[in-house]
Amino acid sequence: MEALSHNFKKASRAALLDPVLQAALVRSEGGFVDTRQAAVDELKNFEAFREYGEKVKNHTLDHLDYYLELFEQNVEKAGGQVHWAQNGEQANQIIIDICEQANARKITKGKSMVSEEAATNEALERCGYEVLETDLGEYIIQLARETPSHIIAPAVHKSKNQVTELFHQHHAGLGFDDRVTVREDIVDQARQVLRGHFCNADVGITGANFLVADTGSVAIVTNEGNGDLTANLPGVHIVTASIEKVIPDLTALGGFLRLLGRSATGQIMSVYTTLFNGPRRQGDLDGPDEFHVVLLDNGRSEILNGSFRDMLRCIRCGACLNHCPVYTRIGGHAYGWVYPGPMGSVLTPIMVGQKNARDLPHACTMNGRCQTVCPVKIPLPDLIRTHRVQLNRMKADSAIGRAGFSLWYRLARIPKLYVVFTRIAALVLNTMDRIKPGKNRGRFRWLPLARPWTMSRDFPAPGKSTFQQMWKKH
Amino acid sequence: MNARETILKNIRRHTQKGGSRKPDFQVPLPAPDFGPDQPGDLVDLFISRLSQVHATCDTVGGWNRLPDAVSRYLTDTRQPGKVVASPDHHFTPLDWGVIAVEYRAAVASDQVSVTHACAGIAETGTIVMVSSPASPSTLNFLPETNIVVLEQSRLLPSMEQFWLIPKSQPRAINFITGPSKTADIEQTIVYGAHGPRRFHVLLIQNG
Repeated sequence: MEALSHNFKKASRAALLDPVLQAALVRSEGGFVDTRQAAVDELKNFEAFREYGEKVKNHTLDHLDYYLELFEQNVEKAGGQVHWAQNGEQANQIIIDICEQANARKITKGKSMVSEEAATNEALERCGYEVLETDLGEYIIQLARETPSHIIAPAVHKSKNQVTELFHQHHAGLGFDDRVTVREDIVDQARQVLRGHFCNADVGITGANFLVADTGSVAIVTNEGNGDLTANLPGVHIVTASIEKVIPDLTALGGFLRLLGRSATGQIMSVYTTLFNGPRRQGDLDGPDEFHVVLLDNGRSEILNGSFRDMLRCIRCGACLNHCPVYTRIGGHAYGWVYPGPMGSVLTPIMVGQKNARDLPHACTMNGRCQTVCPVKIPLPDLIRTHRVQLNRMKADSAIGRAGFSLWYRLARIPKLYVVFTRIAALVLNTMDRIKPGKNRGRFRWLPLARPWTMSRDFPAPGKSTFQQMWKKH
Repeated sequence: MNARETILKNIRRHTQKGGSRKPDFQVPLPAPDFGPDQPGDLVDLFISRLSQVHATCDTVGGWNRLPDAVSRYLTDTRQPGKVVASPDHHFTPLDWGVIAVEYRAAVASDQVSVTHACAGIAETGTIVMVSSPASPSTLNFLPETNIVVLEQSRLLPSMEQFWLIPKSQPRAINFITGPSKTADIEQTIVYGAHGPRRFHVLLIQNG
């Protein structure tokens, strides 16, 4: 997917002024937060599981080469094939080759963020394949020719009315002449349309939530069942997974499943959790004849080295998005690439280049909610701050901001001067406030050099004395 | 150098702990604690979890009473007396009476499937299906209604006990927790997205 993250400021302004998007964001925010909290509260030692998740992921990353090779061996033992891709282009070529070999025409797809990274759909369509997303949210945005705005609820920005129109536009030719406006009918229409595709597809492509090294199993978690239909019905099943998805064994899987459902959707367990081990066996009445796993690096083996390693623990639950005051106001599209919200503000600059996404790490209030809810305890605010520091060193952040902070830095290093300066500033502002007519006192609606602040809120007028003066006095 | 070698070499460069030797993995999994309010009895817990996820459950006295229980459910939910069942050796000898049973994998037009679970997990209200020639996976996903038969003796407290059962690795293990659902339209749950709309568990007491 092409990165538009450089456009963040403009895109977030537009998002704030989009009434349909704002209504959708208000609708979803509370739901995600409340249901998660209820599910987390029920498991009294959820915190112990978070620590477990953190430790197991750290251990696996320390021995990533061992676990990937073990996973590969065990997939091959079960009759499957493992392919390695350094980047999205290589991954797409591997997938295209498999499809060509299988004489495929129609391809169904389960949700896969990795394939969004690689822009797999576009690559397959360029080669003439018919590609159908089958997760309802993904299907909706595919019809709308949009990208996911949330990593687990890709169409969260769409209203029911928009879906009604979209379905009418695309399904009218398929015998569904009337507009469907009731939620159940909309879901049912998608079910009927996609049913045909599931059964006629030649290749099914899914993502993976976990790769279990010890057994060579690919674990896929869904609620709709589309992942399983995609994996079971076509003759070929291709799994796309990034290398950090590997975990040691089934015991670890149990730990992560208790974290994932609760953190993502507030479910104790998602409806469908499936372990796939290779292709159809002798005597089986269903299942694919071929089973492929495409392991994608796309820069991750580099992330292992250095400041952002903790980010590789991410299990893509979306909790940090749902708890972020920035994401929940502007939605996912403004972030301009596959991953939005706090996890996106860390990942996107690494993967598309810090300079191309320099505003993302600044779109953070450092409130720390994301870190508090992260099931694998990723210190997201610290990682975001690290980006800010690195951008500053590269002189890639805004020139005015850098000049301002450097001035403040110099001043703050000389306490005596700092005290004098703040006293004068407080006095000046206080005097400016007092010469205004009575009803306007106490706040400034406009101040020189402070337009970005006063554009959307008033600047409170300070008292006569500074905090330091008061501190000394009492 | 091919992609595999490049990626592994890169990883080894950055982990420094690399090597083909099996690493020491000693992180104990915590035992889930649900506090004193949760039912202590496995069956009670399992049934309460099933109802939380919009699944239904009925108990059956023994294998020979299964056809009656299936028939009653089909009548109650106003469905035709025609099912597709897994070719399981517990099912095939039964006298299904008025119900027309076909033993095969599922096709898109199938309305009701009857399957035999390998285990049940009380902690989450989950049914475990293991694929084999006698248990085709598509029966779990294509029909509108999925009736799952589970012997009460196969009810386990947690997923961890299921891993301990000695078995060869099947092609697919499906953990199923209720009927298919989606919240992709305005974050409101609708049942029957792509998989079964109705999920009914028949618990056999003297299996």
